[in-house]
Amino acid sequence: MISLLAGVIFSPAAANFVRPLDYAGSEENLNAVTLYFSRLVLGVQLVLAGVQLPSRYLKHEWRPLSVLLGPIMTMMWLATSLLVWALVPHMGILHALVIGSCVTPTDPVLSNVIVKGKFADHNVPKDLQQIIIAESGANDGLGYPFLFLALYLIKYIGDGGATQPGGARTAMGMWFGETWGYTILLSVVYGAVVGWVAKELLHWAEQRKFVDRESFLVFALSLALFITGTCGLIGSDDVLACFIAGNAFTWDDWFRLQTLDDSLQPTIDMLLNVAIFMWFGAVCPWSEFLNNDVVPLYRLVILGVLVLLFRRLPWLLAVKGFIPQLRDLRQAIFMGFFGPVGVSAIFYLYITLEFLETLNVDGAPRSDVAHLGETVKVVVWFIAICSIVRAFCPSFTVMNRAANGNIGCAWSEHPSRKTRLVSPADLVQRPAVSIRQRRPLSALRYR
Amino acid sequence: MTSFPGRSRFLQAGVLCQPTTNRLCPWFNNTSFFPSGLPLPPRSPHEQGRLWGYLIAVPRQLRYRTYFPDSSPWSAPGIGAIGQLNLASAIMPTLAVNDFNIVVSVLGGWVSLFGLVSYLCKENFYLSEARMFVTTIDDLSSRPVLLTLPPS
Repeated sequence: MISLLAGVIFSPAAANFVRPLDYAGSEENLNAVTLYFSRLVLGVQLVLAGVQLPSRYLKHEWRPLSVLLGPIMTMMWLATSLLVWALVPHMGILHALVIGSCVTPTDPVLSNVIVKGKFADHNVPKDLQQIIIAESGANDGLGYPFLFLALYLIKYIGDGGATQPGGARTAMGMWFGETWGYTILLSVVYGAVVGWVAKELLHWAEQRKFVDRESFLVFALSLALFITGTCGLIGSDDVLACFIAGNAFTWDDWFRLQTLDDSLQPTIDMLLNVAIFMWFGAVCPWSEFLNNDVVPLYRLVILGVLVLLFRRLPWLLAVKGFIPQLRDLRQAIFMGFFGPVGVSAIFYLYITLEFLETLNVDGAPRSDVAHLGETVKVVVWFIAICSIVRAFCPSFTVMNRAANGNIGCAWSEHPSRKTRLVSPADLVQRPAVSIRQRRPLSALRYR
Repeated sequence: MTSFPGRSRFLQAGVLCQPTTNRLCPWFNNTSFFPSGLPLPPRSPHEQGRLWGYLIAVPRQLRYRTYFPDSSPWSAPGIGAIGQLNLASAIMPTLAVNDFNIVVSVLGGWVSLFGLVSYLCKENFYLSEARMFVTTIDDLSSRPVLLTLPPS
């Protein structure tokens, strides 16, 4: 929030110190720069998120995670799309689905801000922090199917098949084959393989004392860069691959425990956050919120408020029972209210704009999607700004405490209350042994 | 060639004759599906079994489809492309070879791989570089050949 403000202050709208458009040269270049920047930040953040999760987290917690990634994500997508469809004038349902899918994934960067730090340590239980991080990490890459379902349908049946013959059948084939098979499945496999190989290599080199301390610490970051680059090269889902690779990399918890008390990763984290939000502040189309020919400002404001309220909260309350980390209503409200929209939404926004570029007929936008680009840009930016502002707003503390039922007191000051700082799951010591050291199955017979 | 009994349908007195109609799949000409030299599918349901269907006929049909993508033996000619997926357009990925991706992957890959052996390299190169310098001077100064060289 602070760096977003700083970005606005330095931007051409105010002080004119930072002029993104001048640096980039053209609007297309600026879009590309923003897309790549957010990709880079997401990749690094997601590897770090995967690294920070405990050993075999995805395997232990697959049940609540699949609830959060399946029905909850779908409902978030549909709810946002319906709100956009209702509130933005002259909006087709397919176009609304595009906008909805852009803001569906919760953002790992902003989630990190919420669930980390002193305040969160005092107020949010450890396992709730972990499930929020895991959810925001995993659903970031999983926005692709939602987005491309709508985009392929627009491509093939948006103008009645005039420019792209094939119809809905081709669109579905492309969606299953390319999005699910090529993008999602391949990136999961690729991330797992690369993370695993990296772990084994680092083990091997560390045992022989080939690695110095600096390279050891920076290994996760360079792994993130490598995956972002190579996955981008093959056109797959680099964000998801980064998260999976981060998890596979610390599958045996070795690297995480080695770097637990080190401050390099939070430092890089902070640096990237400040940089990207300053950049966002500078490139955000502030004037277009006021002057655009697609949606008036008052509707945008209503939309922003409604999206913040209905995008996530009701659905999380509905599935509270399926997620053991949510012990009571307050925690469900907390998790439902703070599903931030941020870097990942901007990432998907520019992916959409890039895709729409490919639909151009003779250099001009296709007639049915002529206004889609501008609408998506304005609405997604606005929702993201709303969410960023809300995620950081000082009333967060007050509202959370109000949700706790004791205004002015954090949970930690009321040990007598039902909520616990340390969950029972944390007290159970999980053995941090690697797979190789596990006892053979034959040992069970003699117990 | 082969003594597969199915071939005897088309071979009468050693001459390849007009093929009969396939009863299971009437629009499908057996000879074009199995070019000469390949064994024919079993004639009767008794010869036909799961083994034949899944292990031999299905892979062969897939192979045939990749060679001749325009026609599919299991679909009538009039129906056209039902059951065929245009694999070329569906599987061909969208490679994005641009500067950013190349630079980032090269940078990340190099830092990772060099990081694995960084200590080794530093230890060997830096120490031995210094030592090499010292020994060279020592060797040179103590070597009689150097002393006996004529002044240039």
